[in-house]
Amino acid sequence: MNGKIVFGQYYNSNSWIHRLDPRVKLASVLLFMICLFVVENIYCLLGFLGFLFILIITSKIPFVKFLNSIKMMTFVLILTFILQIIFRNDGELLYSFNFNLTYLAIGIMVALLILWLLFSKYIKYLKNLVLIILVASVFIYQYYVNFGGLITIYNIDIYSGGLLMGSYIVLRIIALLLISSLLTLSTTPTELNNALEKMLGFLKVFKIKVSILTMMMSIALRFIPTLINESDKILKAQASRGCDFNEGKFSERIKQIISLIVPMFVIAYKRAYDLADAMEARGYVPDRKRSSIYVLKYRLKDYLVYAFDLGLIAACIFVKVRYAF
Amino acid sequence: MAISLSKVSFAYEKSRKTGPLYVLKDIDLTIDTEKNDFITIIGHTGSGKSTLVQLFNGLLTPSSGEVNVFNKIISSKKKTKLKEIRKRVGLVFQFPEYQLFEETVLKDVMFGPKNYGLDDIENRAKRALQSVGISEELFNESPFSLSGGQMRRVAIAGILASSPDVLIFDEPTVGLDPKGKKELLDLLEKLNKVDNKTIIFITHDMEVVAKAATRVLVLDNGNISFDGTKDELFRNEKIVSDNSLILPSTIRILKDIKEKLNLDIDIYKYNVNDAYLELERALGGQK
Ligand SMILES: Nc1ncnc2c1ncn2[C@@H]1O[C@H](COP(=O)(O)OP(=O)(O)OP(=O)(O)O)[C@@H](O)[C@H]1O
Ligand SMILES: [Mg+2]
Repeated sequence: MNGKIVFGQYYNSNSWIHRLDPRVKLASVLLFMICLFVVENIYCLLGFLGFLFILIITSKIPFVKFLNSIKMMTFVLILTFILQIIFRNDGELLYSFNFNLTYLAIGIMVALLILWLLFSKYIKYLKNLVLIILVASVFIYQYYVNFGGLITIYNIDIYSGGLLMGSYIVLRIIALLLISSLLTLSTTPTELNNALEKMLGFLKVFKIKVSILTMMMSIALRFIPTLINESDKILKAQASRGCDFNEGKFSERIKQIISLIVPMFVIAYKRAYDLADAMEARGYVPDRKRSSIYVLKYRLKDYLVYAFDLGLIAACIFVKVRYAF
Repeated sequence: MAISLSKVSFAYEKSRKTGPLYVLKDIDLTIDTEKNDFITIIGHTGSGKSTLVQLFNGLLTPSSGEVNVFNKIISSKKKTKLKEIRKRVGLVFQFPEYQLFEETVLKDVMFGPKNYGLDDIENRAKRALQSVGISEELFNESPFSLSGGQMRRVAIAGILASSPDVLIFDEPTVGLDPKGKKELLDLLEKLNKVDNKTIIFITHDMEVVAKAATRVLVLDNGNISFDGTKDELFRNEKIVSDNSLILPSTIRILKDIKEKLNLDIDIYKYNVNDAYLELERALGGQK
C-alpha cells in the first residue's frame, strides 16, 4: 500500500474553523442551510454570501478548492438560470428578443451538434466554455440573420422577475455548495463520523445502535482508498489478459465487467474477514460501551458559535415574519 | 524484435505546485527478445520496478519519451492499439490469484486467448494448465476451491495461454512455500530454455538471480544503476554495497572459506556444483 490516496477533500490548514468541535460545525452547517431556505430576500442572501466569504477567508483554505465543487455544478447552474429567465413572466418586461428560425439555421444547428458529438472528445481544455460559446453563437446568428427559408419568428422575453428569481436560485445553490464544501474541507471524515455518533446518540431510545452504524461507516471510509487501489490492480491484471472495457459486443463487455467485479468481491470479503478477526483479537464486542480515542469536548468558542447560530436563526425568522406582512 | 525505451520518464502524480514527481527518470533500455534472456530486475522497495515493467506492455504510458514494443510506439502523444502489445508481452502481477473470476479453472484460463481472438483456445488453455502442473481433474473445478499455490499456477497459466513472446513476473514467488518457489522457478527456466521465451523477473531474492539470470537490471531511485550479467553484478563491490544486496549463498560460503583457509579461489560461483569443483581444484592443487 502506498497510502497516497486520501479520501475526501480534507485540506489541513489548522484555522479556527478546523479546530472547532465537529459537532458544532455539523449543527451550524445544517442550521445555515435551513436559514438559506427560510429567507426569501435577495439582500439577506447576499448578506449570507458575504458572511460565507469571511468564513472561507478565515478558514485559510485556498479558494480554488471551493471553485472545484462549483465547477462541477456549472452546467446545472447555467441551465437553471436560463430556464428561470425564459419561463418566468412577472415583474416588468426588460428586453424582448426576436429570433428568426430558418431552415438554414436548423441545418447549422444539426451540423454543429454532429460536429460536437464527433470532436468534443478531442477538446482538452475549457470544454464547457466552448459549448457555451457555440450555443450562444447559434442564438446570435438567429437574432441577426434572416436568410434561407424563414419558418417562424419566435421571441424570448426577459422579465425582471425572472432575472431576480434566476439569480436568487443560483446564488442559493452556490451558497449551499460553499457551506458544504467548507464543512468537508475543514473536517476529516473521521471527525464527522464521531460527531454523528455523538449527535445521533439520542436514537438509542429507539433501540437503534448508533455506535455500530458509525463504526460501519468509519470502516467503509477507511476501506475506500484500499479498494480503489485493489481495483486498479485487478483492472491492470485483467487488461494484461486482453480485457478491454471499450470494445466488443454487449455480451463480451458484460463478461469483462464481471472479470472485474468478481475479484473485487473476493478481495472485499477477504479483507472483511481479516478485519473482523483482527478486531475480535483486540477485544471488540459490538454492543459494549466503549471509550473513544477522540474525546470531543466543547470549549468556549464552540458555545459562542452555538449562540451565534441561535441568533442567526432568530434573525431569519424575524425577517421572514416581518416581510411576510 | 525488441522492447526499447528511449528517454522515458514517468510520474504518477503531476501536481502543479511541485511539478511531476518522477518515479522513473530518463530511462534508456533495450531488451532484445531474440536473445531469450532471463532478465531479473532488482532494487530497493519503491525504486520503480513495478512501474517500469508496466510500461513494457502499455499498462502505463510514459510521461515523456517513447516506449517501442515490437515496433509499436507507446508515448503520451499518440494512441496505439495496446491489445496487440499486451498479447505479445504478458504480465503476471504479485498475487495473481486475485484475478481469477470464472466458474471453472479451464474457462478462466481461456479468458485471455478469447479476448485476443486466438484460435483453438480450449487446447491452448489445457496445454498452459498442464505446463504449470495443474492436473486434468482440476480443470472443471471452481478456481476458488483450489489452494493458494494452485490458484497462482492457474493465474499464471491464464497468461501463458495466449503464448506471449515476453513474460514479465512481478515478484511471483512471494507467499509461496519453498517447494512452490522452486517449482515456479523451474517452470520459468523451462519456459525460457525450452520455449524460448524472454523472461523478465522482478525479485528481491538473490538466489533467484544467481540461479537463473542471464542479465540483471538494478533500479535505484528511478534510474537504472546497473545493467549487465550477474557475474559482473556480484563482482562489482560498489553496486553490491550501494544497493545493500545480499550475495548468493554459494558466494558467501566460498568467501568465508577463502578467508578462513586463505585459499586462492574464485568465489563467484553460482551453483553448488561449480563451487565444489572450484574448491576441489584449489585444494587438490595444494595437497
Ligand atoms: N498507483 C500509484 N499512484 C501513485 N504513486 C504510486 C503508485 N504506484 C506506485 N507509486 C509510487 O511510485 C514509486 C515506485 O513504486 P513501484 O511500485 O514501482 O516500486 P517497486 O520498485 O515495485 O517497489 P516494491 O519492491 O515495493 O514492489 C513509489 O514511491 C510508490 O509510492
Ligand atoms: Mg513492486
